[in-house]
Amino acid sequence: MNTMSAERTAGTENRSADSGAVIQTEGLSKRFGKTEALSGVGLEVPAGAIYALVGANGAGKTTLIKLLMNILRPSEGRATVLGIDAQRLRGKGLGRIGYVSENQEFPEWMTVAGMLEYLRPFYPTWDRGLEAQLMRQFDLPVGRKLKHLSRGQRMKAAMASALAFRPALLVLDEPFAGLDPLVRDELMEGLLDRAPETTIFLSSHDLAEIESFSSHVGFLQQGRLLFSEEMGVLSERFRDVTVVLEGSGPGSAVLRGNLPPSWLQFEATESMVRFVHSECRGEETRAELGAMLPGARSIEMEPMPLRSIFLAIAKEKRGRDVAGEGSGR
Amino acid sequence: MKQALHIFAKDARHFWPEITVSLVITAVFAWTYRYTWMADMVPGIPKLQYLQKLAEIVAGLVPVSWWILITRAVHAESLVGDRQWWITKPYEWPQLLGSKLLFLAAFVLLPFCVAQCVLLEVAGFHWFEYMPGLGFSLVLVLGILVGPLLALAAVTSGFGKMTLTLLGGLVAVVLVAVLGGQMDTGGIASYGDDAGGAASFLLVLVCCGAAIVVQYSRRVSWMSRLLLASVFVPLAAAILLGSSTKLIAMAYPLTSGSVRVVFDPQGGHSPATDAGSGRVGVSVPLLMSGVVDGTAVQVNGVRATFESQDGKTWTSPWLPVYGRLHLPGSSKGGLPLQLDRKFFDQARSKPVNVYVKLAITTLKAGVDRRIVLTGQEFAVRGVGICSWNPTAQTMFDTTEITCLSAMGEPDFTFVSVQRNESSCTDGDAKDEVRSTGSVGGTIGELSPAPAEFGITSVWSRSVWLNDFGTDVERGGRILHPPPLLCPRTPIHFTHYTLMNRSEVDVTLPQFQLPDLEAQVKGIVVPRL
Repeated sequence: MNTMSAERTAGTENRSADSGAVIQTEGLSKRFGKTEALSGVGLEVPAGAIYALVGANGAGKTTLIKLLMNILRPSEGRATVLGIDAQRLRGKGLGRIGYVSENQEFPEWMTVAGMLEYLRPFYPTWDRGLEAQLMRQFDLPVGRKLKHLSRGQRMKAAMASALAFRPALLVLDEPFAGLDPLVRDELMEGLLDRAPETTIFLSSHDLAEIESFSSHVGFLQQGRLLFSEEMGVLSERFRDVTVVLEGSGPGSAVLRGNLPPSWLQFEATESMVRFVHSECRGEETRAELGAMLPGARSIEMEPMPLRSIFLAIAKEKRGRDVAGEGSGR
Repeated sequence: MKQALHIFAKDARHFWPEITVSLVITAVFAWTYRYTWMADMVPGIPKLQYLQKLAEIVAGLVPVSWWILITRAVHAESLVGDRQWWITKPYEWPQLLGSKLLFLAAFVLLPFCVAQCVLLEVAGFHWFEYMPGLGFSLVLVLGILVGPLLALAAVTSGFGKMTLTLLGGLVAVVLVAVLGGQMDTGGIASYGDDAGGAASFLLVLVCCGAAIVVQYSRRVSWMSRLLLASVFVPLAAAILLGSSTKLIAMAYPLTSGSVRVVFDPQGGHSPATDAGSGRVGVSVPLLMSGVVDGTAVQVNGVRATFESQDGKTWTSPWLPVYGRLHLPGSSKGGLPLQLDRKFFDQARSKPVNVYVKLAITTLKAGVDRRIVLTGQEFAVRGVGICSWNPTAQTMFDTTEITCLSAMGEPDFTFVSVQRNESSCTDGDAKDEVRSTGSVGGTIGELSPAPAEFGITSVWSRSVWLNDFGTDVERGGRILHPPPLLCPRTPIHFTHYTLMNRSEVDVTLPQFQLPDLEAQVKGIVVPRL
C-alpha cells in the first residue's frame, strides 16, 4: 500500500473510531461483471445500535454484508468495521464479530456440542456460562449433528455460537427468513438479551419484523442506499397528511405545479389533499400547511408504520425513475 | 501453533475413515512391495508373479489414497466461494495452512517415510544410512505429487472440480509431451544436462507454493489459479526447449576425438521395417574403433540425412539409441536409422548417400570390483544388493543379474563376466563351443540423484549377460557357449564416470537401402 492510501485508510479508521461508529462505509460499490450490485453506499452504524438493513430481494443487502465481512472485495469505496478496514478483516479481527447467515455452509458432520467445543478456543472471550444459558434458552439438541437439525434449530445453533463469545458486533444476514413465529421470537429474545453489549447489524426484507426492535434503519433499493437513520427520527419525519378543504376556498389548485419535494404520493380532489410528508416537523409543519392551503378546514398528520414509509419512498423513486426515463427519451 | 493443532485435531477426528484406509494401503504396500523385486530375482514362480501384480496394484493405490486424503483435508476449509462457515471465524491463515501441512506430514509423508524405511530394511539395506536420500525422496514427492495436489485442492471448491482440473492438467501435460515428441528431437533430450529438469522442478515447486500461499492468505482464486496454471510454462519449456536440436548440439559438440566409426561391409544385411508414423526403420552395420584404454563409449542418439541420386534429401530427427557399451578395441553392430516412407519408396531403387551424426558419451573407467559368486545374493558397493538365479539360467537360457539399489538408480556400472574366468566349463563340454572375451551390460545412471522420484525406496534393475549369435554349427550339431555363471565365477562391476559428450559424423556413400519386409519377427539385430 502506498503512503497516501495508507494515510487515507488510517484517516478513515480514525474517523470511524472518533465518531463512535462500529460500521462505517464510504462510496462502497460492488460490480459483478457488468452488473452493479451495490453503488456508492455510505452509512454509519453507531455503537449499541440495532441497525436493520432493509430492501427487497436482490437489493444488495447480502452483498453489502459480505463486503463488510471481507467475504467479498469492493469494486470501489471502503468500509471499516470495529475500526478495521474491512479488507483487512481476518483472523483476530473476526474474534469480536459474530456472523450468522441463512446461506452459510455449516460443518454438517459436527454435532451442536461438537461445533461449540470446536469454536471455543478461537474466541478468548467465550463464556461457557452464557453458552449453557443459550443452549437452554434455544432448547437445542446438543448431541445431534447439524445435518439432522431443522432449519430453525440450525439458525439457533448458529446464533448460539455467534453470541456465546459476547461479540462487540453481531452481523445477521436474513436471520429470520423462513422461520416459524415461535422460533423467530426465541431468536429475537436471545438477540435482545445481548443488545446492550452488542451492536447488531441485520438485514431483512420483512419490515414488520424489524420495526419492533430496531433502533436504526437503512433502506437499500437496487444497490443504492435511499436513507439510513434512527428509527425514531424516521418515524417522526414521515407523516400521512390529510387536509380537508373548505368548499368555497381556492382548493388544491393553488399547489398545482408547485409541490415541495418532501411531499410524496400527492393526491388531491376539490375538497381534500392527501400526501406523505417526508420532512415533518410537528406543529411548525402544520402551520406551514395552513399558510399554504388557506382554505384548510382540518389538517391531520398521522404517524406511519415502517412498511408504509418504505412503500411511499419506493413508489416515489419508481415514479421519478419512470419520469426520468421518459424525459430522457 | 495452538490453533493449527486444534484444526489438525478436528481434521484427524473427522477424516479418520480416510486416514485409516490410507494407512492400511500404505502398510500393505510396505509389506507386499518386496514381491515386485522377488519376482524379478526369481522368475517363473506363478505365486510370486501373482503377488507382484497385487503389490503393483497396491502401490498404485497409495497416491490415489493421498489424493483423496489431501483433497478432503483441504476442502474441509474450502478456500473457494463465499458461503463457507469458517471464513467468518477468527482463523489465522498461517495456522490454517500449518494445520493442513501438519495433516499431510502426519498422514501422508510420515507413513510414506516409514514405508520407505521398511522397504529398505526388507531389501537388506539399513535405513539410517540413507537419511539424505530419504529426505531428498520426501522433497521430490512433496514437489511433484503432494504439492501440486495440495495446490489443486486449494483452488477448487469440491472433489468433482478438483478431479476434472487434475484430469485437465494431465491432458495438458500429455499434449505438451506429445508436442515435444513431434519436435526434431525424439527422446535424446533425456541424455542432456539434468540442470533443465532441476530448474523445472524448482519452478513447479515455487509456482505451487505461491498458489497455495496466495490462496490461503488472500483467497483470491483467480490469482492462485493463474499461478498454478503457470506451472505449465516451465514444464512446457523443459519438454520443448529440452528437445531443441540446438541444445543437443551444445550438449554433444563436434570434436576431433579418437573414436572412429565406419561402415562395416561385412556387417550383414537386415531388411527394412515399418517403424510406424510413416517411417521406415533401417539398420546400418557400423564398425567402431579408437576407444582409448581406460575408457568406454556409448552411443546415445543418431540423426541421419539421406540424399538420393536425384539430389533430394530427407533428414531424420534426433533418435535415441539404447546401445551397449563400447570398450577399447573395435566393436561392431547395427545402427538403427529411420527415414520417411515416401522418400524411402522413391529413393530405394538406387544407392543413396547417408550422412550420420552420432551423439556419443565417453566414459572413464573407475573402480573394478571383482565379486566371486559364492551364494545367490551378494552386495556390491555403489550398486546395491545383487542376485543371480541359476534356475533362470537353466530354464530360460539367459543369464540375468538383478540388483536392488536404495533410493534410486545405482551408479553407472558395467557388469561383465570374462569368459576365460568362467568356471562353468568343467562339465560335459561336448555340446559347447569355446568362447573368449567378455559378456556384459550396464545398469545405473551417470549422475544419480540422492533419490529418484517414486513411492518405493528400493529399485530393482536387471542386467542380461547374453552372447547371442555365438552358437556354432559343427558336424550337424549346434554348439553353444557354456553357461556364463556358476558358483565361484567372478563377476566384474566396473564403475564408469562421465568424461565428455561429443558428436561423431559418419558418411555412408552409395548405401543401398534394403527391401522392406511387411513384418519381421524374431530377428535380433545386435545394436551398435
